[in-house]
Amino acid sequence: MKLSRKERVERIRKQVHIDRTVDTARARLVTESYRETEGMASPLRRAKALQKILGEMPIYIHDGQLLVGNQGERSRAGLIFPEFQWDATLSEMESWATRPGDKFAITPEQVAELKELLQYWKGRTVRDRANSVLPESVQRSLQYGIISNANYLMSGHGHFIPDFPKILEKGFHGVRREIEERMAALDQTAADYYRKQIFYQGELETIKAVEIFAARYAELAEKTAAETEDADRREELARIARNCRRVPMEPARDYWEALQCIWFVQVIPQIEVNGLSVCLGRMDQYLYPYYLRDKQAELLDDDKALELLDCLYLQTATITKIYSNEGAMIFAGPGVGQTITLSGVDKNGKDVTNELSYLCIDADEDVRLMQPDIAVRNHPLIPERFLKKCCAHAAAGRDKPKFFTDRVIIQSLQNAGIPLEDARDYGDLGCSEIIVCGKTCSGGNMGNLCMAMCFDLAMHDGVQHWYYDGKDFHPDIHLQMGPHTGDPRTFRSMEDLRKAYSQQVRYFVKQLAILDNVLDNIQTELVPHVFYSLIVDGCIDSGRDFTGGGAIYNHTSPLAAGPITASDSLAAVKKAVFEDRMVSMEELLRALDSNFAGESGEELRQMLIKRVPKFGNDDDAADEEAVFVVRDYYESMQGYENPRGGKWVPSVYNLTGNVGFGWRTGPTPDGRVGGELLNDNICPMQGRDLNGPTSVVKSLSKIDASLLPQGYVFNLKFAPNIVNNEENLKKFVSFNHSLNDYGIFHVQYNILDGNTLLDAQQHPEKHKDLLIRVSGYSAYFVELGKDVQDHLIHRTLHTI
Amino acid sequence: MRTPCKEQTNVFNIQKYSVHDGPGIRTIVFLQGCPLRCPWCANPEGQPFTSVLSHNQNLCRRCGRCVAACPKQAICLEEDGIRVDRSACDLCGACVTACRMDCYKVFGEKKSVEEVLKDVAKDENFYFRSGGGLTVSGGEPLAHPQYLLQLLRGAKEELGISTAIETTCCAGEETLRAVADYVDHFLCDIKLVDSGRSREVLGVPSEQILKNIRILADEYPQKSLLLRLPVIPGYNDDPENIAAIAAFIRSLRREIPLELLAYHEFGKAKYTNLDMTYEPEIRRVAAPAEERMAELEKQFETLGVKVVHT
Repeated sequence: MKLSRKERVERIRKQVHIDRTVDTARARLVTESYRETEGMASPLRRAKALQKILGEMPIYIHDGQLLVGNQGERSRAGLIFPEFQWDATLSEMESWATRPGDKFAITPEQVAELKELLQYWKGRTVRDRANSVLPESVQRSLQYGIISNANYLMSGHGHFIPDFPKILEKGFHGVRREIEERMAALDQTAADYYRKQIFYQGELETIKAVEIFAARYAELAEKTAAETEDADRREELARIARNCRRVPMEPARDYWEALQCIWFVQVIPQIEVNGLSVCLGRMDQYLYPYYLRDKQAELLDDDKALELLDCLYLQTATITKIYSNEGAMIFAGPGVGQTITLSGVDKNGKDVTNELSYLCIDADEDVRLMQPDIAVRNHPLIPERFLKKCCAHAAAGRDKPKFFTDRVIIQSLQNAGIPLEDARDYGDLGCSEIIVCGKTCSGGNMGNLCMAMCFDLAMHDGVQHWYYDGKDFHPDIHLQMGPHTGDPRTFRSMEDLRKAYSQQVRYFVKQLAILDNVLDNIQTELVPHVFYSLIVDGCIDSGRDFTGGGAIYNHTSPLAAGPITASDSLAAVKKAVFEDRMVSMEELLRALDSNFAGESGEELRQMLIKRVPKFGNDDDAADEEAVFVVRDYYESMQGYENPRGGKWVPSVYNLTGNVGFGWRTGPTPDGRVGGELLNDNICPMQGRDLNGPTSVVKSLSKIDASLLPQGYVFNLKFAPNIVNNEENLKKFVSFNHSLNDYGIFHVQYNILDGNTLLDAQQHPEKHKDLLIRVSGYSAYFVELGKDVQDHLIHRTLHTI
Repeated sequence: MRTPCKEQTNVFNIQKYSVHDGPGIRTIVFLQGCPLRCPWCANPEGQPFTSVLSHNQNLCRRCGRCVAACPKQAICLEEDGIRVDRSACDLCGACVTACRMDCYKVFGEKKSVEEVLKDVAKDENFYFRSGGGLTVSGGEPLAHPQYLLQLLRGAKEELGISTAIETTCCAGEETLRAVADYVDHFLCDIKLVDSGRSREVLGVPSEQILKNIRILADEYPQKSLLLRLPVIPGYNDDPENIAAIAAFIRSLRREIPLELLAYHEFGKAKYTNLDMTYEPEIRRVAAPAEERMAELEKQFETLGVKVVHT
């Protein structure tokens, strides 16, 4: 039976969008492999493990799918990666099915199996190793949640864009020849001969794993074809089999083969390690030659091209990851950040929007699932028609694409030392992180610093008063957490307070530096990313693993939680204590330490909310503190170097970390009571921006985004009537031109109304496919925890 | 600012990113005070020429903090909620600060032309990109001739942005002519044609209003003019008024488009908050259904009037 494009999408969609489950096969296979390879060098050991996993894990082909390659035994089955940690899995897995957000069904048999498998890993994981070496100051900062790194303590790197063009052009056989040439040319007396030799051996074994994986799909497709009665489907399966015999080992020859190759390169890293944000890069660029060739030869029309794109999108939607409970709090929503970047400029600065850019938006309209995410590079030469199409898509409530401003981003990459040509070839990762495609180990999302807590410590001479243990608040502890930075009662001006704050930030950035650099070393030692190293430029040339500085560009980029809570608090002290003398520092501290208790405490709190300027209203008095906070964070990272030979660059986003970090942060002078949410990413504090979106943009434009090559996340919520006719669409497009003028690094739109969300909270069954942006990526609303739902409902609605 | 713009008047709201009141992205400046008393008015806080205190009973938890905070003892807590003695209140705002639920708000703040222009200028880039600018609304902007003139002249000459006014056209002819040079877009209400009926419902006769519209249509052909009919079922959607409006529009020297705005109840709660009366008759009116709006649109088109949606 010939399926129409829509019929095919619907058929596959039903198989893809199912409840999430746990898959234990990977855990079993990796454990078996490790038992067999004791004593082997890490790169080889990892390659052997990957061979075993890719060779024996369950594989399937969705009915109607034209592309193959899966992560787990079924769609949205989460894998277990015991090489990174065993303890959180062991203690938390039985709650995965019932925890507030991010649920995974797990059977009693799976629990029993994992309990047994995890025994092997005690003392052998990344986290065990980290615990054994991290100094007490780092452990304490982690425990009290001033810093965190749920990501790299329990996962691999992720946060990269494979060099798709290279694999498409050369295939892994080509890569193998390259490695063999390198090996032949090695100077066997050189000091690094051993390291390189071991690395290359591992890489060759890894290529074997890839070869096995593709061959298994060819066989499965042939077998399925033989059992299929429908002649059309039989033909499709035969083609799938031929594709898998060809790619990814040999160069892709046409559009379909190219997409199959892309998907293999995209899915294997998800199995190798559990890194987030393995991204698709500039797909409208590297896929274009194949599209064009097939179209010119009249082998392909746009309907077929779109159908195959739909199939790729549906494959991305099968990927999911199981976060720990801590991770689930920070990365709420099952986003895994597979982002496609569209439009932008070439190395000469010319616009590169093409027919595929348009089709990539159409595919999202067809598929309407959370994955993949789409980023659009907005620049002065972007075709108006394309920008309009993207705006219409966003305004229709698709929550995609997110928009990036080329001008400021290219500048930010150049500021980070990247040459212009490479800077122009950037792609986006899962949130706002920007990297050079195919050449970068970004260290993105490498830890998180809570700026609001740094501020609180600056108000208490480094002493922590507030503690949240995961269940209850303890407002009365007394712990010297940060350095002594002076009793604020003795501060004579704002300068003193800013200095104290800055010193606290520097102390905790140092703790992060210790943590991240240790983790970098441990990852290289225990879990070199052997497949990543095949697909990122620089690793084979240098004979170094991706985790060990093999990539051309290497950064470490921690996040920031509550920057605006910190800056609004600074602005509040400036106005209330130093300028207008509404209250003395002594009274303010008393109110804070009692969590604004009593009549007078509450009165003061109201005054701090209503009579003090807040970020997001285009008011310099508040905005200059935000400018200070971001620049200070940037400066605090200067001088650090990571073990990969790269620099530290800050990024100002925290996904949904403002909820969890909020619990851990005591009361703040912006009028926020202890334990409440912090501000969302770089957005104004919820409900405190009262002048509409243009003012928020103006406030944000004062922050120098060119200091932040990994950007900030700016969520802007609009009511659904924002674009109800052609005229309003034009206005929305022009709004995006203005954002470009103002150098707004990143923006994404949530188009919705509060009532819809409330209803979804009360009747989740009715809103299963309600797609919501949670800080930088999409999530299904009904899958979020209640407090994150509350937060979204609470965020100011910019109605028109 | 070059021009000395020290003139002050009461502004009760400055709304940015407005996209339904003239072309492009605009900032609406609402001037307080209006000669009309349309019973359906959605901005009753814009009717008086002086500031007015609003108390939102819906949010009120009856905690009594405002009662204690009021230096004039103008607030008391009664069985059915908060009462404000408006004759005693001097609008000091102590209740606004004291209230934890943000129930209180003072509408109307004296602002100089200079101050307003400075605020309007902040969104310059958005106007430039979208072809938007300043829209002055009310109340009735023409009720503040000097202030309006300076504001519009500042927007045109200093900022170089597009200008619009939303007006009932209830003003002297000379006032209209004085500002007309500085206005690019006129958004004029047309509610009732029959003067007796207009006087009865709106409190003012219709002759001057219609005359002003005619002046704009006939004597200022280069100005964009949009007529807007708020459709209030039972008040102005009768066949006679529809026919009269259509006849009037057809009698103008150029084709002027008409926009139909469906009555909504968003203003209703404000009356209670301001201790103003929302008359029982208007209380009974329900928002017209989409079908009714479509029907009216058709009627106008049959009568030769071009209906637009913005």
